[in-house]
Amino acid sequence: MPRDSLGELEQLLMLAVARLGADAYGAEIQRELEELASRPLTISTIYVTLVRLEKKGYVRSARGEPTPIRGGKAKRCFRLTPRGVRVLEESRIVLERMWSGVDVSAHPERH
Amino acid sequence: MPPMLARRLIEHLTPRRLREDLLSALDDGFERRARTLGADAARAWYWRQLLSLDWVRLRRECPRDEHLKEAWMHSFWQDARFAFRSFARSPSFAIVVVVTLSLGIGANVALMSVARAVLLKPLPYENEEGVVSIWSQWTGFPKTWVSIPEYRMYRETIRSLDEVGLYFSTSANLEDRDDPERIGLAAVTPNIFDVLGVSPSAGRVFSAEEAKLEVSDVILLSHRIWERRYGGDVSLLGSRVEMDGVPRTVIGVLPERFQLPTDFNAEAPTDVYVPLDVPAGFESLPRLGGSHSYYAVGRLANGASVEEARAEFLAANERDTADGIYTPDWRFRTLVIPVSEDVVGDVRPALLVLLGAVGFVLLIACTNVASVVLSRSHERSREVALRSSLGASFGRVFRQLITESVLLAGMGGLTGLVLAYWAIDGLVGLEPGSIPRLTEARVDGGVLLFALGATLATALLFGVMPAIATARSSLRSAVGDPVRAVGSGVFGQRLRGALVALQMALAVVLVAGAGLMIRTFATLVRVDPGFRTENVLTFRLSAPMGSYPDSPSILSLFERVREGLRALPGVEEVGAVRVLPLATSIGDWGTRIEGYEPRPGENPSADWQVASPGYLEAMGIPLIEGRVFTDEDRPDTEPVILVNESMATKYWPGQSAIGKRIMIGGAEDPPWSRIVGVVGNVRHNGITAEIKSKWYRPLSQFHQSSGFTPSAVTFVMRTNGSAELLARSAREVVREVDPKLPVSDVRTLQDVFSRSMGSSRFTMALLVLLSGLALALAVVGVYGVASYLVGQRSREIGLRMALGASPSKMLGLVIRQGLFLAALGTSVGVVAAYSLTQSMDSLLYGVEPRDPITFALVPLVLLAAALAGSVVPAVRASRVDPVRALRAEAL
Repeated sequence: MPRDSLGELEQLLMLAVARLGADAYGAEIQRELEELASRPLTISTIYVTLVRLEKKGYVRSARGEPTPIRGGKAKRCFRLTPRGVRVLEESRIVLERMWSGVDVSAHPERH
Repeated sequence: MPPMLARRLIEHLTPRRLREDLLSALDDGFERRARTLGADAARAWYWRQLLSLDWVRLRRECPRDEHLKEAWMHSFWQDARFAFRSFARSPSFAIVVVVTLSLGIGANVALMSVARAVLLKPLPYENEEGVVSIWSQWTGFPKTWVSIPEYRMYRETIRSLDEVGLYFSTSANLEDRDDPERIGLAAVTPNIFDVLGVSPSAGRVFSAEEAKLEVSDVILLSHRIWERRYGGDVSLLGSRVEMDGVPRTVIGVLPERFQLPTDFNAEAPTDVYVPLDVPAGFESLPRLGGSHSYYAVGRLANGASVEEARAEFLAANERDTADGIYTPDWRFRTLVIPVSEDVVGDVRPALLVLLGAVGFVLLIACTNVASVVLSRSHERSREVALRSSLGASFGRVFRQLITESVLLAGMGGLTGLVLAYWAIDGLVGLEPGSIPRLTEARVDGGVLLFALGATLATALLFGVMPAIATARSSLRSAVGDPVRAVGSGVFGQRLRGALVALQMALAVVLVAGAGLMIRTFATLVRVDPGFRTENVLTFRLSAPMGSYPDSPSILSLFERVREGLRALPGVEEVGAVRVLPLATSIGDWGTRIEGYEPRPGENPSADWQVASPGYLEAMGIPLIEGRVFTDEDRPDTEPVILVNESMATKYWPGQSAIGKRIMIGGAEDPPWSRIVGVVGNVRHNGITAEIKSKWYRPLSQFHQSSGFTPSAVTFVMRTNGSAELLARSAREVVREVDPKLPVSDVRTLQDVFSRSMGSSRFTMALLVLLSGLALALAVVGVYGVASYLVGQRSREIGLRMALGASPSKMLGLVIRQGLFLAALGTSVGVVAAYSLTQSMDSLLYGVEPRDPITFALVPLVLLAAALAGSVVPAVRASRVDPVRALRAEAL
C-alpha cells in the first residue's frame, strides 16, 4: 500500500472540506456528512480525524473572518493543501481503476 | 440553549486548542436541531456528543505540538516585550526592583562563594574523612601540641588509628640564589604523606631511612615555591639548594593544593619539607620527658569512627594518669578532631552567622520588591481589567505578570553576579588572612547554579502573591465589580503592612547581630595590649646554623644589627625579642622559685620570653619596679631576670619581687637568676588571651640557663615618625651585616595589633554593612507603604481637612501607621533575635549574646528608621489640598 493512502473516513472528511470551500468548519462538516453521506459522525470523531489530517499535511486550518453569527468569533476553517488534493485524487483514481470492468452483482456469495 | 452541564464537561475535556471550535460547532449543530427536530431531540443529541467524546484520542492527536510550543514562545516574547515596554514607561520602578534584588542576590552569591571555598571545598587529602588532628589538653592549655613519647604511645597502643604522623613547623633561609628568602619549613615524619593521602606531583617523598639524622639532607618543595622561585623547573629534582647554610637535595615536589593542616591558618605556609629527625634514643625518653612542641595527624583504621578513637584515647589518658605519668591536677586529655573541623572550625560560626545574615537581606529585598510590585499592581489594575475583559484568562494574565517578575529577577540576578565578583575581591582584601582558604573563593559553576536558584526563588517569592492577587482582581472587575485595586482593599493594605512588619523583624535580627559585634569590637579595641602600638616597626631575622653555629656568633650578629638600626635617623629605641606579642604564640617553661613550695602535683611554670636591652622601651611596656636590661647584663655578669606583674603578685603577694631568685632549666647545672625588675602585663597569644606568669631573660644570658641562644628574633624599632619609612633602611642595615640573611615579616606593630582582631573586624564590618543594607531597605519599605497610604486616602484626608482636621493631625496619622508597623515588626524581631544571637556566642567578647544595651538600642534604631521612612509621605499628607483631593475623586 502506498504511504499516501487514505481511509474511508478520511476521504469523506476531505471531500466534505472540499465541497464546503470557505465554509468548511466543524459544524458545517458535520452537517454535510450527515446529509450527504448519511454518516452521523460525532464532533469528537470529526475533530480527531481533522487534526490527524492536519498533522499529515493534507488539510490546513486557519481562523476565518469573524462571522456575523455567534458573537462574531472567528472559526477555524479547514482547507485542502495541494498535497491533500493530490492524495485525494490518487485515491479516486485507485478506486476507479479498481471499479473498472467489475460487476460485483455477478459474484454473489455462495453458501 | 445547549445543556449547560454537558457544555461545561465538554469544555473541560477538550484540549485547549480545539475547545472553541468544537464548542461552537456543537452550538451550531444544537441550534439547527432545535429548529428542525425540537429542543428535546437537540438536547439528547448534545448529550450523545458528550458521551461519544473520545477525549483521550483528542488529546493524543492534539498534544502540545509545535503549534502550541510556538504559541507559548510567541506569547513569552510578547510578554517579555510588553514587560520591557512597561519598565521603560516607569523606569524608577524597574530600577528600584533591580537594584534591591541585585544587592540581595549579590551579597548572597559573594558569601556563598566564600562559604564554598572555606567550609565546603574538600581539603587536598585523599579520603579526608579518615584524617584526624591530634592535640593535647591540660589545665591552662585547652589545645596544645603533643610530645614524642605521646606520639610513640599513640602509634603503639591506639587501635582505632592506622597510622600517626608527626611534624613541627618553623622557618628557614633559602640562600641558593642572590635573593635570600625566609620560608616556612616543616620537619615531617616520612609516613605523614600516607596519613594525609598525598603523593608528590614530581619526584618522590621521604623514605623511612631518610628520617635518620645522618642522612637527612633531602628536601621536598611545595608546588608554590617550585613555581615561584624555580619557575617549575623539573631539572631541579636531584640538584642541590642551600638552606640555612647547608646544601640540600631536592627529591620531590608536592601537589599544587597540598598544605599541612596547620598551614591553612598560617601566615607563612610550609614551602620546604625536611624529614623529621626524631631525637636519637627517644625510645628511652620518659613519658613526661619530651617537650610538647609537635603537631600530630592520624588516619582512622578502616571502619573506626572519631568517637571510637576518642573513647580509646580517653581510656589511655585515664590509665596514664593512674600510672602517674600525668598528675591528676593536669587533667591531661588527648583531643581528636576531624581534620576539616580543625582547619575551619574557628571561622565556621562566623561564616554561618554571616550566611544567615545575607539570607535575611535577600528576604528583606524580596519583601520590599513584593511590596513595590503590589503597589504597582494598583496602578496596573485598570490595564489588567481591560485585558481580561478582552478575553485574557486568569492564567494568561498571571503568566504575563510572572514573566515580568522573572525578567526583573533575572536582571537583578545578573547585576548581582557582577556585584558578587567585586564583593569577593573586596572580602578577600578586607580580611587580613585569618580565614583559611578565603583566597580560593570564586564564582564557579556551583555558585552560578546557586545564583540561578536564588534568582528564580526570589522571582517566585516576590512575584507570585501579587500576581495572583492582581489576576484575580482582574477577573472580578471583568465580571462587573467596580475597578478596585489590589492592595487598595483591606486585604491588600494588610498584606503590605505585614510585609513591612516582616522586613522590620528581619532587620531587627541583623541590627542586633551587628550591634553585638560592634560592642565586641569596641571592647577589643579598648583592651590594653600592655604596649604602645604607634610608630613601631618590626621584622624577623634568623641566624642560620651553617654560618652561626654557637651562642657567641648568634649574639654578635644580633648585636651588630641592633647597633646598625640604632644609628638610623629617627630611631629612638631598638630591641630584639624571641617572640613578638600577638604575632607568634608563646609557650611556658617549668620554673623553680626560691622559697616557694609547690602544692603536690603543681608544676610552677611561666611563659618564657627572651629579650635584648631596649626591647621593653621600644615596645613601651612599662617598668613597674626595679630596672630593665642594660648592655651591662653580659654572659659573664650575674644572671638576671624580669617578671611580669602577674607573676610578681602570684608568687610574692604583698611584697616586692626584686632580689628574689628563680631557676629555669635546660642547661647542665643551670644558675639561679635574680629578679631585677617587674614589668607590665602584655597580651601575648591573642588580644583576649588570658595573661599568665611570664619571665624575661636577657638574650645575652639565656644560654646560661638553657644551653642555647634563640637563633631567630624579632627586632622592634620605635621611631619618632612614620614607622613604614624605615623598612628599606632596616633591610640595608641587615644586608651590610650579612648579605645572605633574609629579612621577613616586616610589619608595623599597629598592623600586628589590627591583625590579631582581623576576623572580629571582618565579621563586624560585614554585619554592619548587611544590617545597614537591611535598614535602608526597611526604610524604603516603610516609605512605600506610607506614601501609598497617603495616595489612597487622599480623599479621606482632604475630606477630614475640609471638616477642620489640622494638618498636624494628618501628619500624625501617617507617622503613627509607620511607627505601628515598626513596633509590630520590632517586637517580633526582638523575640527572634533573642534566640538567634545565641548562635553568635563564640564570636563575642566582653558582651553577652543577650546584651541588654544592644537589645534596648535596637528598637530605637528601628523606630528611627520607620520615622525616616514615613516623614516625607506624612508631610505630603499634611499638605493635601482638600479642594483638589475632593475634585479628583469626583472626576
